[in-house]
Amino acid sequence: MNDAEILNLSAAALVRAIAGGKVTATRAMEAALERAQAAHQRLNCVIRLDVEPALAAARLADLELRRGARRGPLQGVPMAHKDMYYRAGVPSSGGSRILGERIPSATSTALARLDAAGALQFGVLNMAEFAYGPTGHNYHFGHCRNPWDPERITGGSSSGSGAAVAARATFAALGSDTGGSIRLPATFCGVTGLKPTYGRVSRAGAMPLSFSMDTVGPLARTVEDCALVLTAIAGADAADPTASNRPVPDYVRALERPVRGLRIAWSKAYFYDEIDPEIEAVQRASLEQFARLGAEIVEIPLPEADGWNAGCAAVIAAEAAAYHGRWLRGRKADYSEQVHARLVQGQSIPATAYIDALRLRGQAVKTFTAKVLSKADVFHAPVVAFQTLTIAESDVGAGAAMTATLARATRLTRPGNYLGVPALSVPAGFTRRGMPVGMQLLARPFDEALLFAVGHAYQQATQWHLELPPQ
Amino acid sequence: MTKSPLEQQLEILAVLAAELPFEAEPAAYVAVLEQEAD
Repeated sequence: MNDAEILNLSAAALVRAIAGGKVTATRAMEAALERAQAAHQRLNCVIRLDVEPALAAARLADLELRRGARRGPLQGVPMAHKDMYYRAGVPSSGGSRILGERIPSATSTALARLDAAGALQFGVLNMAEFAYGPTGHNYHFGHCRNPWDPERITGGSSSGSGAAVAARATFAALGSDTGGSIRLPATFCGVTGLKPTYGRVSRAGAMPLSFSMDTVGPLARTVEDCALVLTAIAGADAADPTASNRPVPDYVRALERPVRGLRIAWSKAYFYDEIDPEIEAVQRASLEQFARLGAEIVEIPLPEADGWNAGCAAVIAAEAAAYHGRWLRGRKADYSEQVHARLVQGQSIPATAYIDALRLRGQAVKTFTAKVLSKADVFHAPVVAFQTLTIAESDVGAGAAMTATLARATRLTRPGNYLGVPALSVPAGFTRRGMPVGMQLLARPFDEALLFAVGHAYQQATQWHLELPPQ
Repeated sequence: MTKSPLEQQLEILAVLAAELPFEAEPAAYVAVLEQEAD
């Protein structure tokens, strides 16, 4: 296999190729590092590559494989992650000037579990400053660029994860999703991303933004790869009291559940307000594809999502402002203007509004399951209503256009965070300009397995996720 | 003067909160999430 053939494999296919002796972990790592360096030149998607330690780890993995040692379901797979997952003794920037001053004493649970599964981390990826930005702009490390058109945004906050997976520089990457930060770069960059149920994956050792909304999940080339990564990282964790004790199924084994007979709901209300006609056409085509697969499509108006978006916005703004209080007072100059302005805005949220937003949340989940999931199995929606903006036109700084632009970007993703339900973003087509467009699928709490089965069936019937951006 | 998105969102929240059941508490959310999974 040549480098391009290796890099075009999914993570699952690479695991099989390594286990079958068709490619070594070292060869895959060399190819990934070379591609990451080349992609970074064009896309500014990397914050740090750990070349020598990664190559040493790959050689060790090959030695273990030759000796017949099996470490786990991701043995030998090179990965880089959003730079906000702590590793003991190694600084994490969080996309900021501030966070890297602290040296973590413990490794995050998500990274520890990927290590245990045999994955090999080779670096850390660009991201929005403190994970607080949906476009992919970063004034400290430079703006991340979209592999399909470097003049356009990647989406954020997991900007480097989306760009690097799309550029085939990493086989999968951890992102985080508080208001859409996995699903937005997944849709803009043409990759698959999962925001798990709140509490499905431990947040221990992950930089917080809003502890009531933060989730840890993968961006990858296929639904199957997301299932592979989630199986490795999900589950109870004494270090995170919000991590659920619910058993973790083998998500890969659950992929083959048929779509025929399932009911897929969608809502014109709220989710199709002011939508771009090309984005709408992609959504409708994906629903037609599900109908061809034997699913029943049902419209269930869900105007309540407007309130869920509002609740999510209040909680994130207030919690982020509280977390950043220690730095907001003395380190204004170390923040970009936009992130600082948003954090200061959060300080003005009344305590009563914050508490009400949290009180309303349980009722919102009950409404969603009663209204939608009693009549359907999954809920289908666009991830964003507009086409991929250029970096220049969405560079709104802290000016008057800031809150409206950013609120518009997360309007369709925040309801999923507020509900806490799992949400899967899947590539579903392209605009006439050649930019990828995704759809999102939401399900009952902790039913990631169903989302994976539905997304996998879609990817078995379509080719969108296999399209490659220009190198 | 035009209201910011955040101000508009706080107004929406206030309307919804006025209709909340008296006993709704923030801590109940995770329990509801687990309960609604089944």
